[in-house]
Amino acid sequence: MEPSGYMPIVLQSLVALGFVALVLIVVPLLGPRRKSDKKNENFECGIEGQGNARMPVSIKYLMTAILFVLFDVEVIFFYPYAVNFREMGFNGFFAVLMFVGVFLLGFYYVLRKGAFEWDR
Amino acid sequence: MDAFLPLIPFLPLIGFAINGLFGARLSKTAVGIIGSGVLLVSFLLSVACFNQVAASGAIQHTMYNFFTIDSMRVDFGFLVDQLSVWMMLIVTGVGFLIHVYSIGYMHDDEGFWKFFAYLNLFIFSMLLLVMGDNLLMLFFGWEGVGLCSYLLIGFWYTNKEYGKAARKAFIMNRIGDLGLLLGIFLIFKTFGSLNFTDIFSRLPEMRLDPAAVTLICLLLFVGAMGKSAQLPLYTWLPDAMAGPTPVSALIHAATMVTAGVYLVARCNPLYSLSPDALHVVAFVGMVTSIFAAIIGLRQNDIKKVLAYSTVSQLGLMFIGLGMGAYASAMFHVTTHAFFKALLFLAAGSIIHGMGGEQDIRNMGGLRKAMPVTFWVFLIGTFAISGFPLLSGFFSKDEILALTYAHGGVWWWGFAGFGALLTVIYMSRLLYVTFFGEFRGTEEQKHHLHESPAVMTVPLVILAILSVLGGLLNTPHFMHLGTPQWLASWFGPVIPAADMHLPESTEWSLMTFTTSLALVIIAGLYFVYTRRGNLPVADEAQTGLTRVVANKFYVDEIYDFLFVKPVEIGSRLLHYADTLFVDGIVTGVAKGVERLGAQFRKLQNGNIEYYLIGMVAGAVLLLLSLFV
Amino acid sequence: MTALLIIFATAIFVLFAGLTKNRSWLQPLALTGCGLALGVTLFELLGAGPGGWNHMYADMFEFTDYALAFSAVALVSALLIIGLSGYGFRSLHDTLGDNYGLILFSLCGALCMFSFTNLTMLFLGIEILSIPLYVLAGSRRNDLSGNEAALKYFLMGAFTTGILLFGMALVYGATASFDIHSIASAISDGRHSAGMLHTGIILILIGLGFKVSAVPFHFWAPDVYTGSPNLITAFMATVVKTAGFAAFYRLFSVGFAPAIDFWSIPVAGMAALTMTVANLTAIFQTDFKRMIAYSSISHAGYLLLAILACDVPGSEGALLFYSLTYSVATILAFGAYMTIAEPNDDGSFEAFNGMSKKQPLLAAVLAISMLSLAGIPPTAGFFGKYFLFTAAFAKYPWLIVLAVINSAVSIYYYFKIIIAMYFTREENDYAVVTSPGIRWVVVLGLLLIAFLTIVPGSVYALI
Repeated sequence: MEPSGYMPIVLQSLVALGFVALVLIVVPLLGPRRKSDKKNENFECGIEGQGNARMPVSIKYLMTAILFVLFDVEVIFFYPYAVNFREMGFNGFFAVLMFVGVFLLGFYYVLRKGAFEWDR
Repeated sequence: MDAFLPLIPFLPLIGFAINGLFGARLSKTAVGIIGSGVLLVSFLLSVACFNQVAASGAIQHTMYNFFTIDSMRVDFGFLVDQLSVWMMLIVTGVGFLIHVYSIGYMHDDEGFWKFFAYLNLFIFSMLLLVMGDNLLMLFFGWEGVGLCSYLLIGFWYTNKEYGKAARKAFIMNRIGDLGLLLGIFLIFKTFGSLNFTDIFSRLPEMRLDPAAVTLICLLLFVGAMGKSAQLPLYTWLPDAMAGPTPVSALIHAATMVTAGVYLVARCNPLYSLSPDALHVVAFVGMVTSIFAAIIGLRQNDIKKVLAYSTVSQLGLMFIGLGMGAYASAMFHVTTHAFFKALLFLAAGSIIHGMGGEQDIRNMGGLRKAMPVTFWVFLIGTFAISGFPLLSGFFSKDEILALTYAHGGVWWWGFAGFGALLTVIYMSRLLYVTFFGEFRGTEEQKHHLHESPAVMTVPLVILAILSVLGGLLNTPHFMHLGTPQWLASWFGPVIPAADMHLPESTEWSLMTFTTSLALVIIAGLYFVYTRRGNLPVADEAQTGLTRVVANKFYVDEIYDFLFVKPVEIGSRLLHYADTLFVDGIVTGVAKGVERLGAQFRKLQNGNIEYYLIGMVAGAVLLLLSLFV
Repeated sequence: MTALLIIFATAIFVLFAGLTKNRSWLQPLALTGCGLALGVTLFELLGAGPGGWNHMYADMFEFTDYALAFSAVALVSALLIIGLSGYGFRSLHDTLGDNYGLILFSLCGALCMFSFTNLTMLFLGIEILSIPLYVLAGSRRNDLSGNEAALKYFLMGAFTTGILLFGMALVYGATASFDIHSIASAISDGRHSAGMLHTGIILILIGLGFKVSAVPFHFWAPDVYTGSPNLITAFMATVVKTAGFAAFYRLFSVGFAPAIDFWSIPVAGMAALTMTVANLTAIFQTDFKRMIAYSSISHAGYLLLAILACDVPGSEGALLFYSLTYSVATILAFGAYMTIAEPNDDGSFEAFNGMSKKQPLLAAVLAISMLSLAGIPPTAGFFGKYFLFTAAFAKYPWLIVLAVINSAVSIYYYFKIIIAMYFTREENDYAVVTSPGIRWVVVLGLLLIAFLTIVPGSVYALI
């Protein structure tokens, strides 16, 4: 494609950036500013913050989190399939079936390994 | 015959396998019989080979294709021609005698089977070296013998010094091998082949750059310098005497160290194209020959004397090679194998009889206690000194005459000087060891005995060979036997050297050196026996007060005219040796060590530094964008 | 491809088998998988050909003889290493299946790296190879140095992965293709932007240089090799190195071949630097594994010569032969090393003192593998060096002189082991604990070395 063909995209990006910039600049200028101790706190409501946020977290949280991310990302692969599943026919279906199969195997493995057992 | 050819090297390999794997469980007799038996068969097969070569010329036998790179084919093949079959006879023949001798010499050693396994492995490698039909096979054997030499020098590893000596020998040799390997690469690049026959047959039609030939020859010669202990790579050989005496006889006198001579003789068509390289060869040989002989004058360890003598004799062979007298050098290789093996084995017999004593200051008068050893040692000494009609007489004289013919009077003079020094230290060794009175301890005196027959019989055989070996190649003018038989035998491989001297000149040269040698032998007899003078140096130790006292009786004139200057020279050279030669070697090692220590600091365990290092490297690489 | 599928299936199978109570059949299972894959590979290589796999998967793979032969080398190494694992993993219980699984997955990555035709496949192969290794390096969870090794390896690996990927992107930008054949034709046609292409090549060079531990991207190797469990170090020093070099060679001899005049300068510099720095540093090591780490770096220097000589016929064979002899010798050395270092918790050279008396077989094997690594005839390592050096001699004589000098220097440290085993008077009272598995592996390895020594041409001529 010729470079000039990208012009609409460039324009769109400029507009988007411009809008964000505009909002960020204009909003503080429009409203009045009142500062107070209460307002500068981390939380405006709820329980008051205590201690340092950098405290050791049990590995179990991380384990769950990382497994979530893993499976979540894998689910994303369904989107392209969902768009194309008619064209891909049975070949595609079996491919995805295999994909899901491997994926389930992984899930079973994680389960058997006891990654979700909280009390261990 | 072709079918049996591979047996010659592989029988010793089988012997190695049997002794190496099961030796610990076999009786010593069985180990000895297997170890020497395989060699005897190899020797007989070599004799058969010799007959065939004599009848129908060189045998080329390919066992299988080693590998083929592009257009270059390297085979596991043997080339048995006049030159290699001769070496095979020496290696297996002298090797067999030394094996038999070792049965007696090593009898009480707990590593008996290991010793024979190593010796057999050595013979295998040595046979590959001489029989290979290409440079790669030669290199294979070359390194193999180096490895066996390493194993055998360090054989008595309970002494830490011995291990060091072994490593020194190996590393020194590797420096030489570097040259050899580069030479092989260069030959491959130039000729597109590694096969001797191919290379030499292509040689005439190729228009080669003389500089390239000289470079190839010099690189190969660097290899030869390492293996044949030439200056400056010779220091390992005297240290190598740490090994058992049969090893010194077999490896460090008769066979392995002559591999360098063999290499140059084998590549003689190349060397003949490069007079410059030949000059270098002759010069190095000359300097080594004199240098080593002078050091030999002052040694008191019986094996060290013989070691320096070997270095000096090898130097003489290289002088011969450098003069283009390849056949004469090979002749000297042959006679030297006889008499030097004899001398070493006789020395071993002495050491055996003295219960491990090697210092000649503690010997003396052994003539009566060890008559056989005495007589064979006497023959060996006379042979190496060039006593008329003994083997060394012919081979040494031939080299000297050719040196005169090709190099002129100065070269001849220096070479002859080296040869006369040999006479001096060898007769000194003989007289001090066997004449006079016994100077060892009472215990040693009690222990003193003649060696068993298994040791003396090989000695006698070698003595006979040392006497008669010269008849192989007598000069034309003497009309003795078949004149120049060996040179004409080598004819197909080595073109005869051009001897254009009138007979009278040859006669007078020979008479001059020989009579001088005889005078020295006789004179030293009076110095060392009649007057009871002993060569004991200033570092005489306690318990030898008698010896110290005797020092004052040393003949004044002899002292003034000869010993002092030589002593000073010898001492100077000794310092030069320790300071200069060793200094360079250790200096290089130190430098390498320092550099290594710097590099080591880079690896400090901090990942930040590593990343910085990597980024710096990346920047450096990116710089190449602008090259 | 068949081998890849077999290994992948075995890996999953082993992973699940590891969940069961009875773990004694994990090793036989892994061995069977590797053996089967090796058999299939050799069958394809020697006779049948790769079958219909070549153009599947959108031409991502190409199963040439080159790919098959290197797959065979990697599989042989893996077989030997898994053969040692009965000993090396004997203290693992819960994670045994995972370890085998990870090794096999890593092997899958290696197999991808031999046959890729597409830069994305190369990248995937490298990552599949590396990620399990990050885990394996730290597989002894309570071992501090193992954790350090894993973290260092991971951080530096991630760092260079970024560089590698950027390089690939630039090459794509310059040539508009990920396919190495199209890249080559784009370069030779002149349809590319030189600056972008060259920058990309350099960045890829950095990334691959890291994988094969070429100086100055070698810093990870000594620390990681030392900290990792012995078996994993053996795997890293052999399979990973083989894979790295095979991919390196394939990419540069096919994809970037037309630009050889450009990249040969930095590669030659890297080769010279790698040999020299590694050998000089190795002299000072007192620990076996660290020495082996530097030795493996120095071998990378020699192997770079094959890449420099990639337009010389026969350089492929040289690379193949060298990789095989180097791998077998290194694995044998590790096999012998484990028996003395692990039970006594001492990896220094002194630990080997007097080993020739305690275990003559293992000592002899270790000595032979040291000789082979040093390239001393009559061991197979000599031919490896010989092939490499001849291939590169015509183009880079100065580099070969340096390489020969360096290999002479290397004798110094390889011989330290031999001296300790054979020529040392002071002995220690260390116990040498072996297992039948180790004995099998060393005997097989010895036979292999003997075979390579006697008929070097057979392997050399495979490709």
